[in-house]
Amino acid sequence: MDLSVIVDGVKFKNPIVTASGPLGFGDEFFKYVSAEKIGGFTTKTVTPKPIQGNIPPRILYLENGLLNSIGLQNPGVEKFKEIAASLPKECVKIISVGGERPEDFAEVTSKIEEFADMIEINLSCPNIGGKTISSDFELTKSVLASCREVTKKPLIAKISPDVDPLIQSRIAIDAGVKIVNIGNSIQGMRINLKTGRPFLKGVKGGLSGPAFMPVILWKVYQVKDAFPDLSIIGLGGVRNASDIIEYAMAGSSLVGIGTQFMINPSSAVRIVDDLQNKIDSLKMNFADLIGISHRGGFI
Amino acid sequence: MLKRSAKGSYILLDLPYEGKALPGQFFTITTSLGPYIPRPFSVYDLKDGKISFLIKSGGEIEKFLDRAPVIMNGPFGNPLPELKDPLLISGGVGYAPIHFYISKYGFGELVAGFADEELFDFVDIPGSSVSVFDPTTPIEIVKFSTLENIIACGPIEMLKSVKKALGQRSLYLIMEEKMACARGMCEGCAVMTSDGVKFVCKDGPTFKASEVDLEWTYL
Ligand SMILES: Cc1cc2nc3c(=O)[nH]c(=O)nc-3n(C[C@H](O)[C@H](O)[C@H](O)COP(=O)(O)OP(=O)(O)OC[C@H]3O[C@@H](n4cnc5c(N)ncnc54)[C@H](O)[C@@H]3O)c2cc1C
Ligand SMILES: Cc1cc2nc3c(=O)[nH]c(=O)nc-3n(C[C@H](O)[C@H](O)[C@H](O)COP(=O)(O)O)c2cc1C
Ligand code: FES
Repeated sequence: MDLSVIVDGVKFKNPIVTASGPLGFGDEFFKYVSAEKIGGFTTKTVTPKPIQGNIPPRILYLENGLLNSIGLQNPGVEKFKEIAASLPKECVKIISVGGERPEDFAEVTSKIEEFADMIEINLSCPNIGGKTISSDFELTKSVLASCREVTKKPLIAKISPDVDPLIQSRIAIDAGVKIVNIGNSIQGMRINLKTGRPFLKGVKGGLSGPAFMPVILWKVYQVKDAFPDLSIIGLGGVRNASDIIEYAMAGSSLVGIGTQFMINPSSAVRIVDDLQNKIDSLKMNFADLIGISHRGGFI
Repeated sequence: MLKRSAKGSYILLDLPYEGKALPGQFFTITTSLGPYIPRPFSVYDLKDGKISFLIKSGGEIEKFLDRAPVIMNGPFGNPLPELKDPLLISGGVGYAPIHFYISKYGFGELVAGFADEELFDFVDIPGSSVSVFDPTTPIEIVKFSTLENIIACGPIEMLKSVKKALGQRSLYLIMEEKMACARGMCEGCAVMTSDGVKFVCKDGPTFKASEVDLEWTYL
């Protein structure tokens, strides 16, 4: 059966895309996995100027996931352009762009668009200073509009699980964006019992990993229900091929994987092979699974 | 095979392993039941087709170690430099990489500090070394050493004191930070150096003391 999917005119050989961040710019990841194996690769978020990132600890272990507080460390767009040309061509190249103001996003987008098949707009990093862009609807609108203005390439709005997904999706659609990524890591914290202080200097971090998959799955379901024509990247807590199928059933056309590939990059090979076996035994193409839970399931 | 110290504060984990590893390198360890995020541990010993790790109990991984098959990945990180007659300083389970170093290259002097005395009975410490219980005392002792080459591994507060006392010499520190990928991808295990942010898993875990900023942490 066929694993391929077409999203906003771009063909993916399978629905698996990497999440922005956990795999950096891919140089190490692609030592374990050939780009021919995965549908798409998303880069670490790139901003106009280099960002040093947060004071450690940047990682906290949780029972079924982790909290991260990386703080968007990246070399800035000028340095990134040197790397961008060598991103592998054997899978869809998604470049994640970030910043604070609409001009920042427009600057990065216009500088990197020639290297990208798609551009993901990171509206939702939980680890920079005050609020996420997603929590300010007017700012979200301007950021999306400024990116739309400078490129014709497909855009993805990466939204925040801490803010209403329906409002964020509506804003994306109105800005001419046809894909939403649901979503970034969700905000959380832990307190050190020995010191009585938060573990992280920024107090909150971003929760990722299997612990929060049901939360994201539900958001994917709601968005698909409200906006059936919007394409969704379901991203959060995927460990294996069954999780991918669940995300597809809820309405995801593409499924992102971050933490799982970060802790075990070579598991990508097994996951893709398992997914193929699973749809073969279901005797369904992957595309037919997308949103099936909204259509009464298998009938 | 898993061995616990008398009161259970420490664990020695032996696993069959035919591959290579050098002192200073580490592996990530989990089991088929968890924890979900594999944890980094320094090699304590490697001989006769067996690799060993010295693990402080009380964390999540302990719950799984004697219940499920262990999954180990590595070696990761850069080996320790082979130094002439080094002074080796360790605090707590920071003794693990030091032990492997000694078994491979020998040493000049060793000062091992343990807050928990049962580690003395549990691990194998060379006869000519000094072992102390009081965590502040090792620093008082090492001040009297005249050796030029030094390696230290232990809690951050200990590393700060060692750097303060012996930072003018050729001092190497084995650093620790929480890791997610262990492969230089995720930017999780950051340390500040004179050359900007570096990563313990890829650029370390050993750094020259003169190059790292030990205050750049929220611990
Ligand atoms: C390169 C490198 C080498 C290392 N080598 C070794 C080694 O040889 N031996 C070794 O023992 N460690 C070593 N470590 C450290 C080890 O990786 C970490 O301590 C790891 O977290 C241990 O995992 P765990 O599952 O045992 O404990 P975890 O579950 O991760 O817990 C770590 C500690 O935090 C405490 N804790 C958990 N939650 C809280 C809370 N809310 N408040 C306060 N405290 C809390 C736990 O009790 C435990 O003591 C190394 C680290 C690095 C980076
Ligand atoms: C270490 C780490 C770094 C991340 N960096 C970014 C980033 O730069 N940009 C971004 O949009 N999301 C970033 N994320 C969020 C992930 O892309 C993803 O949304 C989240 O981890 C949930 O997916 P997962 O459970 O499969 O990891 C990061 C996550 C982690 C764990
Ligand atoms: S643990 Fe990911 S960069 Fe070191």
